[in-house]
Amino acid sequence: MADERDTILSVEDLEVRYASDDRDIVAVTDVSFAIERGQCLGLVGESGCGKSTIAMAILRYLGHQGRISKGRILFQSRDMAGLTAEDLRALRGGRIAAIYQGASTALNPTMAIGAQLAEVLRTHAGLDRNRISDRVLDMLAAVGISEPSGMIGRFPHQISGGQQQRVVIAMAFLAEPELLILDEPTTALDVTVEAEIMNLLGEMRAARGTAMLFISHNLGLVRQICHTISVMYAGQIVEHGSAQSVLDRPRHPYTIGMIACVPRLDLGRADYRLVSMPGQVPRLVEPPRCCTFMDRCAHAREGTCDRPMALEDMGGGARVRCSRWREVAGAGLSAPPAASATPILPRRDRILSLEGVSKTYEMHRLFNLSRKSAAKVRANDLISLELAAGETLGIVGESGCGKSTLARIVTGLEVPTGGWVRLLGGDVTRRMVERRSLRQVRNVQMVFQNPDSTLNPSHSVGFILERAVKKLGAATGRAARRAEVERLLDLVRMPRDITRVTAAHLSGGQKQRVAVARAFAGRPSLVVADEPTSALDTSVKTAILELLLSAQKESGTALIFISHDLAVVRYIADRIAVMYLGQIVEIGRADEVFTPPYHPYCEALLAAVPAVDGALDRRRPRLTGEVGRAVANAGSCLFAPRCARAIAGTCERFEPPVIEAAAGHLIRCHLPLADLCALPPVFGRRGGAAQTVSGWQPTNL
Amino acid sequence: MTGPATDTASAAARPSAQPQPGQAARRPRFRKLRRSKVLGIGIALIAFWVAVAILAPLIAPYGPNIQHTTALANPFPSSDHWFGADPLRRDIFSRIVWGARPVLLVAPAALFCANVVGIAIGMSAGFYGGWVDELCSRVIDVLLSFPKIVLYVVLIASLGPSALNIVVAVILVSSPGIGRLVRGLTIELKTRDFVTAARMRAESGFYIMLVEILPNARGPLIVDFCMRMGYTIIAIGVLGFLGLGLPPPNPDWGGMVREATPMLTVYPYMAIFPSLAIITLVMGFNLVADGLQDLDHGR
Repeated sequence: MADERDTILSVEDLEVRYASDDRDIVAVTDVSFAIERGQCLGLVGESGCGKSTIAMAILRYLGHQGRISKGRILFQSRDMAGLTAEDLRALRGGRIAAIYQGASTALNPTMAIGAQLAEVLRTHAGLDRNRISDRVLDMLAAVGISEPSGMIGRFPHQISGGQQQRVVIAMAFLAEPELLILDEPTTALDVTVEAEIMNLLGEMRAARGTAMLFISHNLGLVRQICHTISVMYAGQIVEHGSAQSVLDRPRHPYTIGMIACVPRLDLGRADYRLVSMPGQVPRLVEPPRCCTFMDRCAHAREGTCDRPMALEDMGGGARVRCSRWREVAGAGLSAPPAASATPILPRRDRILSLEGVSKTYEMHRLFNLSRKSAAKVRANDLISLELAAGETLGIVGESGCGKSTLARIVTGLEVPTGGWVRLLGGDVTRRMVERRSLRQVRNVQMVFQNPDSTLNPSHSVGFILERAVKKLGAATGRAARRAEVERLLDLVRMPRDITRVTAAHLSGGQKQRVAVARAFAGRPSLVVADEPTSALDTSVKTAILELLLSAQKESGTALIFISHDLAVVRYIADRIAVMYLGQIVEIGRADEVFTPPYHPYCEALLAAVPAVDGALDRRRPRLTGEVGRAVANAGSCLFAPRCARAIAGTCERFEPPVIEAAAGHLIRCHLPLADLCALPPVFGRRGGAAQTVSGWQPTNL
Repeated sequence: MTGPATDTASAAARPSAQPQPGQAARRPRFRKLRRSKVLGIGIALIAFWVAVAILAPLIAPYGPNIQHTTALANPFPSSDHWFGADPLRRDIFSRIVWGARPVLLVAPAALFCANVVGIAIGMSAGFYGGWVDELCSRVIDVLLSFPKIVLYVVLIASLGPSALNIVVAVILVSSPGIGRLVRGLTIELKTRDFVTAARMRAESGFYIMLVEILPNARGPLIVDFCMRMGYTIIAIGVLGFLGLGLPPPNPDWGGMVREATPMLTVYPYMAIFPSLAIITLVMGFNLVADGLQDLDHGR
């Protein structure tokens, strides 16, 4: 144990309860941890496990319903419970700073950036005006804002999400906090921006020795920044240890399950199988009387697991809340056999083809009524692709790259401004969904991103599915429709009596299951899934992916799967299209796109994703800057301004050619194919592949 | 509370471990209802007046229009006439009891019609947009630009005082406001994914509006209905006070206040009792509106 003085925060036997309608809900129980100066502790777990509650409890922000019912929180050896309101106010934003997920809500929209930052110094440091503005400018430069003097005059809505989060970080560090609480600080950001923010946080910590509490559901991120990790489940810490030991040699069945749920970037679908965890996180109304994970645990034993679990010391500072951890670790994870590799499909019917499709939005400025001078924003630019029956096409790219616009054109929610769209042999270029033929409408369905908006909250599951069957399916008659609804519920593995439940009362994962069932109600030829898993927790995400795959296989449906999560796309897609600023910069089979030769943008995207597996070694140029707006195309490569491998004098002046790297594998780049082939693969394995197969990995590498 | 059902395959195989779906979903609402005092008082006030209106023949000691010569000299409240007698020596208590009927019949009926018209206009404006929206919105703007009470007076003065004309006036005065509310709700709701999903099932616009959008607008609409009930009851009272209410000798609270005004200093109770009736009923509806809003915001 380190010196007493070096312990910044220590939480002892914490229990937090929320008052509910009839009885208390135990949000956190029996939680103890300590963070030392310059250390970063990661709290990981699914939503509803009490991670954020701990952060709120530290700052005493529990609201009028929440209270600390047991234990204490010591900040620099002072008991937080004894602090007055005045002391607390000085502490918050001063010696303890917090950064939350939504940077835009953390900033005051009516104040200039500079003034907001200065406010921190006035309140917590009491400096005079000149010194304040110097400090603000220094800090903005330190968080990587290229032109600090220009930034101070701007308002939050005038800067991008990534820059907003930088400003929030600057604000947090200005008061020189001893402890920084980070609650999912990068979840709303693109992977590339996330990578930059994480680098920045790492540098700031190294330079200032700030202790950090990092809350995230993303295991890769946690590995990157944290020294120690506490895995939370149902309000308890179930496993604690160094980041490396927890992630490489997880002992608790929950940790093992969580890691097995994470799709991998370096392996294709044929090489491994995601294992989803059954069940969901229980909500406790009293301190648990048995292992909280028992219901979902494959290793659970009567007599051993049905009593309260204590954290057991495994040596080396590692602790686990499982009495059977030795047996569990010995058993390893019995991964089911791999899904058979998708065979290279014979040329089948093309159900969809896009040819030179473009979509331009006209930006009308206020008070500018002349149509001619309206600026044009190009969302899609000369997109050409084809989709065969039963095929899965993944579309990846940062936000703002036109992925969703492409989906809306295919589904007839938007009409392209140029090019041709052919669907099931018919031209639908100028046809919104209302003007398409019944056959064309029925055969294209969608799965949406936001589970809370995808189902009508006023309708019951039964009504929703029956209506879909009636309008989309072939079943006639009430009994036949009922049978069809039951088939769909079986397909998405939901109990049949769920039909009476109103959609508003379902959990996010359940809503998304019903949405999948609704989309497949009429056995469509094509389902467009626009980020269907990005709002879901890790274990639920995996389950939905499995469902999509099995539903697709059952009805022979083609799938367009849009996501910013490259690992998910790699797992689910046969072919992948990488989009940048409305253009497809690379398209090919999943394994082709993720290994050289690839487009420099694809390389940069891959390099930005944090990996859970520490054996992956990636030393790559980071992608800096942000997706701009493709306002006018001056015949250059759109990626050139951010490209680490741009050829000076060529890339910014000429439109790049399309190179055919292999049959069906196209790359839009100026670099010669030989150079692209020579790019080192992003996934090098440290010390050779043979040594790196760690215990938890699925056995069939 | 555990979710109504579990999320997964294995739990689906043993559903007995979970509470039956449906049961868990319904209970909390009633519990909340009991928790909101404001809502409870409002509902009690409305229920009181509804009971009075329904049971009028049993409660009222006399007919509303019977003149009592016994009260000629002493119209003050007495054991025979609890609230006293009015200038024409009719029993005020009985007139108030009977007067609850026209108010509780005309106001909700008129507002129901106004809601049908307002929802039709607002929903088509919000859903179709374009020129339909322009047209509807401009008509709404024009109607809303009149002061409400002026519109009422002008309409009733020109159409003549009768229950049906009050209904017509309420429709013309209230439906633009309802239309504007519904238009806003529709514009917001039609961007939801479940509406897109309905479009992708080739549902008709009519179906989408009525089945997909309208049920989700019910919360604000119910609150708005309660608020408007308050306004409308006041408006009917004001019309009665101006002599534009229900034609005499029907018992009409507003009209009763008007008849009492010349002798307010001598017989103030003649105006006070009918005013109290109006106040308590309006308050009932306003409290219900407040209570519902509080429940909505989880306060």
